[in-house]
Amino acid sequence: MDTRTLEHRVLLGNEAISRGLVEAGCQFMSAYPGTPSSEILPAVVRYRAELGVDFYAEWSTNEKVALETALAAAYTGKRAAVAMKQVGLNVAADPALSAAYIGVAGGLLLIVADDPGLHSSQTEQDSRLFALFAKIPALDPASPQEARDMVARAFELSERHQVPVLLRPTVRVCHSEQSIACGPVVAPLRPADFQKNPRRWAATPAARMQLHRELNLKLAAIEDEFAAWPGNFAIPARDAARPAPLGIVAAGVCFSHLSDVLESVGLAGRLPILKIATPYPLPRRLVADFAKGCERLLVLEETDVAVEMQIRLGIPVWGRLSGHVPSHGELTPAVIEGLVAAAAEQAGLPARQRPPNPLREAVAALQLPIRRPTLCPGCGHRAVFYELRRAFPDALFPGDIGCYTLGLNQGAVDTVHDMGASISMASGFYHAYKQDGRTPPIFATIGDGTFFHSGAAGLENAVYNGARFVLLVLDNGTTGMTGAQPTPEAGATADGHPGGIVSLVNLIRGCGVGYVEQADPHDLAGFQRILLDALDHSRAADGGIAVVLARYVCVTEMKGLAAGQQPIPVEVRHAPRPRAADAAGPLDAAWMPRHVDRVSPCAEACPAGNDIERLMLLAGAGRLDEAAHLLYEEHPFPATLGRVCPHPCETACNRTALDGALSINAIERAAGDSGRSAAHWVTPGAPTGRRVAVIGAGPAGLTAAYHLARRGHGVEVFEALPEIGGMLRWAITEYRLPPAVLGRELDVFARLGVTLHTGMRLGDNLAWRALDDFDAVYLATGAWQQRALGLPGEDCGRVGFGLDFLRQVRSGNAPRLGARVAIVGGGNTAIDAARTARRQGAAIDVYYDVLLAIPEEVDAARAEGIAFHEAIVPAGFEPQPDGSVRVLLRPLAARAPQGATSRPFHTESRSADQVLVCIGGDADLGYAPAAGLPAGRRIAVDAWGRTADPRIFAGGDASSLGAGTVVGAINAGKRAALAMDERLGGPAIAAEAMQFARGPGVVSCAAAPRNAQQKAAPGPQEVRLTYFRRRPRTPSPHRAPQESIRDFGEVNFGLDPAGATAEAGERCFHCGVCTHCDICLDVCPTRAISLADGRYRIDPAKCTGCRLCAAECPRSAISMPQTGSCVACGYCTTWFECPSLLRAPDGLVSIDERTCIACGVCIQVCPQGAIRPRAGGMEVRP
Amino acid sequence: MKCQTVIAGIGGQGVLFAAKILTEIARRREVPVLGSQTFGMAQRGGSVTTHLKMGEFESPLICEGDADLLLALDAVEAHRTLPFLRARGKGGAPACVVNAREDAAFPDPRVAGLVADMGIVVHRCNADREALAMKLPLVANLVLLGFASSRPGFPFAYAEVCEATAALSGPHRTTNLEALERGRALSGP
Repeated sequence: MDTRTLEHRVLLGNEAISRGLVEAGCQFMSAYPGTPSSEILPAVVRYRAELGVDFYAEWSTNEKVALETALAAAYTGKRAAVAMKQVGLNVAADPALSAAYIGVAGGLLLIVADDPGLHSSQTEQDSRLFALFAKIPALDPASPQEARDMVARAFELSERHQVPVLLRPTVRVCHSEQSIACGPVVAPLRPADFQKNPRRWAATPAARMQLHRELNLKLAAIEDEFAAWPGNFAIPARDAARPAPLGIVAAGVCFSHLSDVLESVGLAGRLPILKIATPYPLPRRLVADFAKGCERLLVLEETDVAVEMQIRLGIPVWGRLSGHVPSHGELTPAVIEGLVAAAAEQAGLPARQRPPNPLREAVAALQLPIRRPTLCPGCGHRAVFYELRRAFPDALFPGDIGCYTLGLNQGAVDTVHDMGASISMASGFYHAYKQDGRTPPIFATIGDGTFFHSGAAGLENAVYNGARFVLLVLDNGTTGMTGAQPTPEAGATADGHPGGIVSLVNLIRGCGVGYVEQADPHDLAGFQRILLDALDHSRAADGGIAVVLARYVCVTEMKGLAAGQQPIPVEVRHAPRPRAADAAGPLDAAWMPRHVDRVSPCAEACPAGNDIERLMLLAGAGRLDEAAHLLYEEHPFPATLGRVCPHPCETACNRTALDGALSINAIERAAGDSGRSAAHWVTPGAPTGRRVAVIGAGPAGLTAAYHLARRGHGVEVFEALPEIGGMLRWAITEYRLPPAVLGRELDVFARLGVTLHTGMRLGDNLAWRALDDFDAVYLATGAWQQRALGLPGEDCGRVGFGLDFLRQVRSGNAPRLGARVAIVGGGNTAIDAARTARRQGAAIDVYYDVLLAIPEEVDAARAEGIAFHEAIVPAGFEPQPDGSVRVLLRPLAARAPQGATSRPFHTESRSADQVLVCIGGDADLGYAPAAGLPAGRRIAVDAWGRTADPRIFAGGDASSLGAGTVVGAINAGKRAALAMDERLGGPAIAAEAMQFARGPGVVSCAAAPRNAQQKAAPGPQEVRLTYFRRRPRTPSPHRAPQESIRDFGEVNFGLDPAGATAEAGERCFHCGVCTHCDICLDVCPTRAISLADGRYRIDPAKCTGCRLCAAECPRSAISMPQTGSCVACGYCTTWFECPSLLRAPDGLVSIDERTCIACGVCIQVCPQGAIRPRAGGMEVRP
Repeated sequence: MKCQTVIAGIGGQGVLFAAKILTEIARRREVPVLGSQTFGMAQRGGSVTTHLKMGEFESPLICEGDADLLLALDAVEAHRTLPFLRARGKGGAPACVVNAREDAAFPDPRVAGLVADMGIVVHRCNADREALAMKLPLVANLVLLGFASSRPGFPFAYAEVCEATAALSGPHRTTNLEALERGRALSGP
């Protein structure tokens, strides 16, 4: 061919091969991308268009498939090619070996690119040795031009001998550029015409033996032909000393390197050289002829010994086998220069060694920062690995082959083996540990392309054999590392021919995986939640392998963020380091992390002063008896409060933000029910000789009596009604608070020596003067005076008070109300009256303006068939001749029209047999003048129940402190007891030490172990919800509504001890209180936290101040102020490892504007809050 | 004419495009050209080096101590690839053209003496600043080429660089030529 007539273009070696393919009439190509072979197929597609050739090109799903596909095309008589990298040939090994025996009809070129020096590969394998093993002729081009020229000749050879031919370029051919002579298509295209011949195309073992024999004959013939192959030639030495002391046999690109270095070592023209382009079968006759003029040979070839091992001569052959050539690594020109000079010297030929390069040593001494391969700025893989490593520092991370192998840098890839191995190895790790009864968390990572290549087989196997792990399929929609080739899910084919779409989700499900979640890792906390859920599934009894499909775009393919994703330019804030003496030294102690417990929000919210966090700790450990003791320290009513409390603790519970508040109320009840009663735990204090009168035996009075008696004061309780208990006894209904439960709790007063007088009403049969002998008086007389509506007709005889009705029922004198009862009011008394009347068989309507009752009670009432009418209020009542009453109703907001009418304004009316008004009550303070107290609705007191008279205290519904709820009354009673005790010579009130942060509750004893926790409770934003597994709130079983309305049996069964223990143990966050969960130990990047004597210690020499421990503490029990500026800790550059975060020698970090694509994820990474959205303008460092 | 050039930088800086321009010049001059690129896992942010050999060569790789010219888009990468440069000899003085901030120490004082002793001529400019001024950080490569080709003794003329760049630029022709012009302006009149 006269190349002077051809057009010259500068082409990459891979493009030169592609050009050769198209020009040679090749019409069919399949490939799997892999460096350094990836550019061949796309270039073929370009030349196909340029030259107008009918050419089919496909990216196959793996190399085995690619070879089999191309083989079939070659069976039809067409010229076909297949391309892959060297390790891909291992995948295609099975069809490759059979292909040699069975052969082809049209020419088949197997292009396999080797990677000496491991620029981007796992092994330095020599595909020419594979050819030798498989008995496939192999070609080894020395340059892009030779590679291009070889293609046509190789097809011709392949067709003539009906064998596939291996074209083996190395990386220095594939990725070199050269001026290439390009020409037109020279070989004719052929129609597909498969000639059936089962003895060949479907050969059985017997026929294969014949094929093997024929193959050996073909190879012998090819060896003969190769002696005259144009790329095999000898270059004699200019000085004709014969025999030459040393001859060089150089194959492939080694010949090119050799040619350029001989001059610099003074050997140009002094050595005979034999260039070899056909390493297998080696033209041994040609080598022998060359060797006749040499005393010894030096063989230069890559990557292994394919040529050297075929040479059998009577003279020494130097090479890898003799140790003259390094047996690993690339033979670069510099390496060849050195070893040829050394071999020449050894052979007696003086050579000039290049003097040492002084710059090399000087530059090495600079210790330049190494730019290791790293994921691109903005790559979604980085967020995945960052989160994996942070959330699961102790997990096993089997990784895979692709860009995401670089998860290594972030500590979230432990193994990298071959394509698809992540899944099989995760399975193996699981079974190996399981054998020992251990199940460490296992997170395997694999890219979408690699999963399509070889992930499914491993996944099927793992499912089939019962392995448990989490598989993350990192789906960036492309084959990223090799240059963004489409995957089977992309809907795009290599040459644009119509194709189908393989759904990754369906494929995963098809492998037998039931749990497939899709996630966007850019929301780090949300992604962590998804990972935790997946891990839970992989460990659940009814779970299995969990697959998380992390989806994002390849930012390099997209040349930026995903369409629609808002760029978030970031900056690093720099400020003088807070209170540090030395800018580079450790942080001042005030800015270091400290483990400091805080008050839990539940405890802060509890008016009764219960240390709920500790209650959960005890209950969660199944220690309900001790839990009861803890409660009895604060009040005598855990079983009661566990039934009737509106539980502000649950309202405050941070768990609401995850999956529903903790059932604290039910746990308190379980402790009160199943623990030993107060009578067991509580004893009267040493007598003080002081006497206190408590007027009113409701929850406020009894709580005061309880604490006073325990402090040794003589307590006498005066109760107007025939039995003690107040509202608990007379107003709260039996189906909510069974008398036996209350009775058990009231037993403690006898044990405490409290004198109980019943049937004595102050100002009636108990004179104020009779109290003169007492050192203090506590007025807790309640609010029994019911408020009327003040509406026309209210005095008709059919309108009564709900509280009176309830008291009559509890006294055993229940009046019959009739078939239809209307309740007015939205408080707890209204609901109690409604449900009680319902139990008499009445139909109930509740009219209210605002619903203030406990929501669970309202729900139960609705379930029992009670009708609620929101914002509908009565306007008047009209008695009916049949003895019933007509209730006139109007909407709360409606106004009467102009003009007077005889009837009150109303919009509707209903008839009822009875109306019960439940809109609250007032204290009956008839005794106030005698006591010297100002008249009024309630007795005015301070926060500790003190009145203006130092001897008189008050609380509960009768006062301004603790009115409205049982728990409020308990709070008031305790506070007053403490204040009276102080007055009677007890310890002074230390409000600061007794309160739970800013909450209403106080502890009964300032020496209580948690009383120093004055720091405010952490809110939901300060709790790391992601660390907690979802576990729905345990519902308390209830009686069925249709059954419960038949009698007064208890409706809510509460939680049994096991249920309460599980609820407390598995659901409580222990907000603000260190539980020694060790997460701080695990997450600390510098292992600065250690555990000694049950306490965490922080080594100031190791602590970098990154603040990750405080940020990651699940319950906010580590205190560390956020600086909001860079503290030079290096956390982001080490663990997030974005190349756009530049760390200066002083440790401070800045953003590299040149490479940052403003993905904004690093903002979520810095625990100090130093990385933030850029306010505008360029970043400025001080 | 024989000329061996090393182009160094960081992935994403346009090392390959700079190499393509010089290759195009060689093609236009009808001088044989051989080049070798670093490919691999580092697509952005990693060290990237390209070797370009013009004239009669067989191997695409340059040996350390043989290069006539080093074009570096980053000062650290320039230091890393300095050993490729030869000493002054019969081919004249070797040159190192580097994109560096004015306050960056280049060459590092620990190697500066050696660089001077070897007769390496250092040309430096702040190409990043010009590129950022154009709000196109990626054209620093062209600013550097425009600057380099306007220096005396550079083996490629500014006009040649412009022609080759224009031929390869497609829709970015105007901005690319502006970047070259900014580089030329840095070189002085």
